[in-house]
Amino acid sequence: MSFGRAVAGLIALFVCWGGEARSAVAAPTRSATLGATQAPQGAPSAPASEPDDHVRPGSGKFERGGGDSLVWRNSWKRYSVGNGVLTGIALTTFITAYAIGPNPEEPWTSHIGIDEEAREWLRAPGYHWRQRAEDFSDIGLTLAVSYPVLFDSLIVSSWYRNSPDVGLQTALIDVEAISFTLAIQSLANLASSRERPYGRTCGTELDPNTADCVNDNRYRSFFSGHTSVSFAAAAVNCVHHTQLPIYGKDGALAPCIGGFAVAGTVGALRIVSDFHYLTDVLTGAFIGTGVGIAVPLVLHYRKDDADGRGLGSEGIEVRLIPTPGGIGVGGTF
Amino acid sequence: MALRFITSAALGLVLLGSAGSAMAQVVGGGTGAPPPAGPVGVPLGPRDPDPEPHMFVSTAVDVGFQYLRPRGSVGYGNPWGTWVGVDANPLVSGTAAGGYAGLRVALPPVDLRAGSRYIYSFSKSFLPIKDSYARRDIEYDDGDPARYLALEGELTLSPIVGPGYILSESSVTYMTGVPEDQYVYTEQLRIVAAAPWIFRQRLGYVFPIAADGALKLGIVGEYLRDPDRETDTVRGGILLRFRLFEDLEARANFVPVLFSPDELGIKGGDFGQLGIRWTWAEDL
Repeated sequence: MSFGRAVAGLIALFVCWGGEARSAVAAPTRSATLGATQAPQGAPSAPASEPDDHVRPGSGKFERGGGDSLVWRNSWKRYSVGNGVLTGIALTTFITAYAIGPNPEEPWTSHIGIDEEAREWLRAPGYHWRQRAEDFSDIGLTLAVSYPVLFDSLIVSSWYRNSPDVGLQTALIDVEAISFTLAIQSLANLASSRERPYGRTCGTELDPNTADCVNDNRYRSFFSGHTSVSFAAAAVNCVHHTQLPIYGKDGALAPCIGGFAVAGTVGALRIVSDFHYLTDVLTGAFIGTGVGIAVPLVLHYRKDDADGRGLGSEGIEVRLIPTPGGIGVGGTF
Repeated sequence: MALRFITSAALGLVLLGSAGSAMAQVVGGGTGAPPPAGPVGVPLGPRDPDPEPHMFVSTAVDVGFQYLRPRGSVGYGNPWGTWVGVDANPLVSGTAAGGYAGLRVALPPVDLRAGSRYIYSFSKSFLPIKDSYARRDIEYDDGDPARYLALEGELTLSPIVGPGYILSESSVTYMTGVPEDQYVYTEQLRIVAAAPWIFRQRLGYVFPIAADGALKLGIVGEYLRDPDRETDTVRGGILLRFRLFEDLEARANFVPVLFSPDELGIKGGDFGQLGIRWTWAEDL
């Protein structure tokens, strides 16, 4: 049935102090579904056994319920209590690692050649412009995270297409992917304690009493949280658009390109503002994209057998496993 | 349905915890729905036409990326119209804790509040006096965190004029606990100020632009005067309000600084909202 079987004990990644172990992925369902998640105008009613597949054509006007409704396929895995537990563990990990913080006594201060070259090329010439770059990276991060949840899930899916069920699912999956990214990023901060590029200017260009020089934020360079979260948000939203006609048929390209463009800009601005090195940004982009693609495909958007196996197929399962010290996460591939 | 939806969404998005399939199922969907109820082009509410005054408890929760601002009220009257009571909202962030409590009188289109706000900063200190401040300067930390109490009064007017309404917010702040030889950065007003007095006036016009009045655009200007520091700050920009469901509104503010003695970047403007506001009330 499957090509292989691997049970990965990712206990180090998601450590928890207790709780009931629940399956994060329910037993696969094999029921047939509509071939598309958006039915044609005037589609007949679905069979009585699958009332969830009923699709309501919209008026086309810009009003609540004006768009054709969206349907969450029966074969897809809904955000469940198990996913909530996983998200909670990830957020707990993030908060705990953030509170502990990096070790300023033994920071990573050595420099990598490619980072120095990129810093020389990209860093803004003066403090004024570095501050502007920092401001715009903050705004970009806010937009990158808010857009999928606020606009696509709430306004477009829930309001315009009057499909709050789908809107809620996509929003919760967004939060799940971002939470996992934050957990990984904060643990990397903790483990690496890399000094930010501006750290070497504390006492010269920067007032040594500035919070950024005094606090442990100075040693949170690796890897970039702004970049990883922006890329995770872009990736998970792109996956939603490839699976659901949120913007209509063949409407996935623009939100995918736009999301990654914003994320890439955020990453570049983190170097321009002297808050990160190139390797911090590239690592953040890689991990954020990976998590943003893997979480929805592995945990939620499953393929029917007819669609073939692979990521998202029914052959994949992820489980929470109770251990003497807490909970681990295992998977079957 | 909207109440259930936002309850689920708030739990899932803010507490980011255990919203599950049961929550997803209660929201339903797929069938047609009536257009948003309520008057077009006017501020949120009144949505309960019941004129009988009664005791009530209500909340307004603002949720967005990196912020959660709950506000609780207990009052007498109609929570969506005329009422008198008390407001309270906690403040917890990565850099400070505190809260606000005060009296509130709502008599549409007039809304008056008066109360006190206490701020306990974890790491930011009062600021040494300078002519101008940059974003890094307001994160000054000399090991002695800033703590102060601000007494606030604010009068909001929102009379309907034409297709929309005029928005006027006038406030006065009196700060105590700030040393005479130091300034303080107030996150509430987003300026570096000398104690004790600060005056603020926001004026604008909010009008419906689409979706049968559910989507509104506001154009606003704002002026702040700190007579003790002898500085003026001017901001201007737009507000967006999108009433999605009866109890849920998407909100966005983009009001950058146009004129200021300081260069605080986004810390000096009103970018503090890109999220949703959920309102709820229950009779006591």
